[in-house]
Amino acid sequence: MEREKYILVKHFCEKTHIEDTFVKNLFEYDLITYEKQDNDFFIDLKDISEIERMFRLHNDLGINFEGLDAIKQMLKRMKKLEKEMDLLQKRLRLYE
Amino acid sequence: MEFIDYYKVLELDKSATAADIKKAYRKLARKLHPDLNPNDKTAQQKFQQINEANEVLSDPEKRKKYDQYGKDWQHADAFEEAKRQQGAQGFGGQRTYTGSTQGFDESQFSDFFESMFGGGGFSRGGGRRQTAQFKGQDLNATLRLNLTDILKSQKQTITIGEKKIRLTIPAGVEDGQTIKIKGYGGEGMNGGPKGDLFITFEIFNNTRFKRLESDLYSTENISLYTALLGGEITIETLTGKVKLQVKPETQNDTKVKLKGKGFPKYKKEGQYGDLYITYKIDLPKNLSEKEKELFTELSKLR
Repeated sequence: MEREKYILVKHFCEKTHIEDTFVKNLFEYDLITYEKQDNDFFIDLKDISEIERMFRLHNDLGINFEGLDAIKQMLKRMKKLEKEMDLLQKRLRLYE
Repeated sequence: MEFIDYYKVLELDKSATAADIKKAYRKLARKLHPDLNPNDKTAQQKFQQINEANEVLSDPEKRKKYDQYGKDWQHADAFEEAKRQQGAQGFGGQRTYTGSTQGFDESQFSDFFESMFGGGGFSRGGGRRQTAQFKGQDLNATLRLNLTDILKSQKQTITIGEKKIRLTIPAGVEDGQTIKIKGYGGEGMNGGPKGDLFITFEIFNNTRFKRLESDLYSTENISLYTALLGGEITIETLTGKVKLQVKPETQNDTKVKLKGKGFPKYKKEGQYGDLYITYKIDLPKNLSEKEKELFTELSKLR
């Protein structure tokens, strides 16, 4: 495991004041992957934006973990559809 | 600076109760939250407005002040007096929405708000929101290029803020495509990593070709005689002139494919898409008597 790519969950929670249980719940619901070494949990630095985003949704809008999972799936689907729509629009422009 | 009707922002009337305000705010926040509306600047602006409206209307003191002086906010004396009575800092405390997504700066409140309540923090009972930012803010930038600029990969230096960033723009990048440049965003909080820079390309098509990913499309006019009898034509491609054999009895709207004469494929060095040519037959105009005679003769042969 490349240490510089990961951050200790405990350290992350201390710095952000996000509760440790919130991050552990994200693991539990498979919303974020983690690495475990001895008894320490690590998260990938590239997942920080995603954790912060889910925390905002949870905190600002009171969305529970099932809801976060549903939103994650929907946003993924929306992104895919937007990409398809963009391609179709470009295809349509060929006939203008 | 304009007066902002916070009741209107939350779609309420002045008689709204605290519960009505809470309900209206929550409903609109669910609808307009920036994390649920990625890349939607209008939603992000509206979210900012409802936050501001909620800050004022959900706080009894601020609401009272707003109701009392709101429309007459330009009467500075009255405000000054009000400020003096309440203490110079106005309302200290926690502010709302502290997270941020790409390009959304939640800390910017309207001039109207600033002039009325000062630039300090915000009071808020319950402390529902809290700072949770560790990674620096992601930044967005748009880079405008001509289609002919991206025929080859090129190195460019761009300036974002005061920072100069050298980047390689890969050939064949798409219009509207966004690339991420890691670590070139805002500084992290509490020792967190820097945010990222997202560059979106706006590609202006300065050619006569239409582009769909790496394929190019164009129409070529050919004469009636070339269409009927066949012949050689010369066409322009993005990389130079090409001679093309037109088959005899070519029909209008016939499409031919020129393999590998399209646009460079994104991040596939040396690979190109195809060029599709659609033939449009030019029918002769202003026929002479002799031509009319010959066409009549021809028509009798069919």
